[in-house]
Amino acid sequence: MYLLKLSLRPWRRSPYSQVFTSLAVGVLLFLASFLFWMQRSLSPVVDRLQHEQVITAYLDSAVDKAGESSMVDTIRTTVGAHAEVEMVQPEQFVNHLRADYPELSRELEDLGPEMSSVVPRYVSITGILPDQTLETVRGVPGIQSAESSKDRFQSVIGAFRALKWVANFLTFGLFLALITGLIHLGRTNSYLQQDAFSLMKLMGASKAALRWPGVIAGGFVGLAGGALAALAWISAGIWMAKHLQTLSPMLRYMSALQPGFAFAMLVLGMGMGAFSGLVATPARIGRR
Amino acid sequence: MISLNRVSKSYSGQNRVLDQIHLEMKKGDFLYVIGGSGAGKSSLLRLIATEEAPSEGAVSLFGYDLATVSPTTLRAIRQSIGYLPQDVRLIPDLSVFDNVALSLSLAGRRALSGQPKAKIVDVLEKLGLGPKREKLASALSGGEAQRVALARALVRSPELIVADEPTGAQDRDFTYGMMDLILKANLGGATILVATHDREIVRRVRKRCAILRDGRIEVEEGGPQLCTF
Repeated sequence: MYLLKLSLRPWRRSPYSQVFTSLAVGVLLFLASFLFWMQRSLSPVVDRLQHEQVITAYLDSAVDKAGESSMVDTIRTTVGAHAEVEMVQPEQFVNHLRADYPELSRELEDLGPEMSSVVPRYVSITGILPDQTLETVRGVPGIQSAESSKDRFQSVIGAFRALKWVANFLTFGLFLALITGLIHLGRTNSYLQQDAFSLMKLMGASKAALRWPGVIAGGFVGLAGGALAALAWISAGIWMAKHLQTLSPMLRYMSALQPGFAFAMLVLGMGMGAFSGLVATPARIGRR
Repeated sequence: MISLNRVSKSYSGQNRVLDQIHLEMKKGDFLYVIGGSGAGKSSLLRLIATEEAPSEGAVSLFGYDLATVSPTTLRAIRQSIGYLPQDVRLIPDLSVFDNVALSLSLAGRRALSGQPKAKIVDVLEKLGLGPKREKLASALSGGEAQRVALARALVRSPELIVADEPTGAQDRDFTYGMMDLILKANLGGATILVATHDREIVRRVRKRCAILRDGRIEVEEGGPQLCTF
């Protein structure tokens, strides 16, 4: 019990330092964890952008209605069940256009029966497809031409990769700031405890015995900071993650923020605090 | 047990506080170090309590030269010493009980044998501190703090007790009570070194004396002397 009381002396002697450091630990730990989650959860998005493609296969004008459905079946069996295959008629295409290009869609509709000769019929194939799919589709009888969106997102992928790199770098920086702040507090605390440490040393305390109060004091600050971060994680963190996912349809593939990680933040905060206390307590106080 | 060979001490290159001190004590000895203010009593006791190193000469405790002893042995030596410094140095944020418990917990396995809590309560009772054991050290009077410091030293059942003015802030009853406990530890085999300027306790508990004057021991050199000042 006396060891605990001794360890908590800095909370009595310099309470503001402990409280403000705990707050800083909480904020930094939350931000670092959020950035870490963000860079990890962007991976599925990047993977999807990298491998998902939309193949648009334009039909030859000679293909009739009966030929259309057998062609769609041929493509479906060729690309596999995991891909989405859809036959798009000229009318459907114009409908798709209407939202973004109302003038153009009106002009096309005004063409009447001739619209079908201007607006192409095509098969849309969507999914994570092997590289050779495009060539296979091109080889299907009745397909005039086919193109893929495969490289369409290259610039977006690059932007996401840059974002991941920045998030990694910031996470590292925040953890560094966190551990530096904790070590600084640990050193301040060890000076506050100098009277007790020199007395303990004179009584024959081992180096381990001299380090324990620092480890426990640091652990407490880390635990308080970890608790704050955990609270922020299960409240603001979840809201922030959801909000982030609404900013772009691409981000809906981000993995969900795990509330269970709040417990890990408690442990992480306490562990970092204890480690800082261990590192910060000078092993040699006074003579030998 | 204690051997000081031509030991001198000066602080920051100033005049010597201790000058060529020679002192020998065997196990179970009891020695008063007496002298006026500034004679060097506290400096001498700090050297023997391993708190400071001499500027010159050699200090040996339990047969080990403190200048060359390994950290592990030094720790074991310190665990065998009950030191009562003049400024008592209690940890103000801990209770009386915890201050004493901390000392006991650092005294090694030998001192921790038996029932530590009962040991602490017993020594506090003997020093009239039973009702104050949960009180914070910062709330104690000077005399009470001095008794806690003696309890902290005695509870470890040390082989050597080094006490610097242990009764300076006590009334007569407590002074005699404290000296009785120190004497009892001496009868139990502990070596005792007490710095004091209280003639009354020296007369009452007559033991060997070393008189310090201007950093030199004046009487001790002729061999064991009984205090007659």
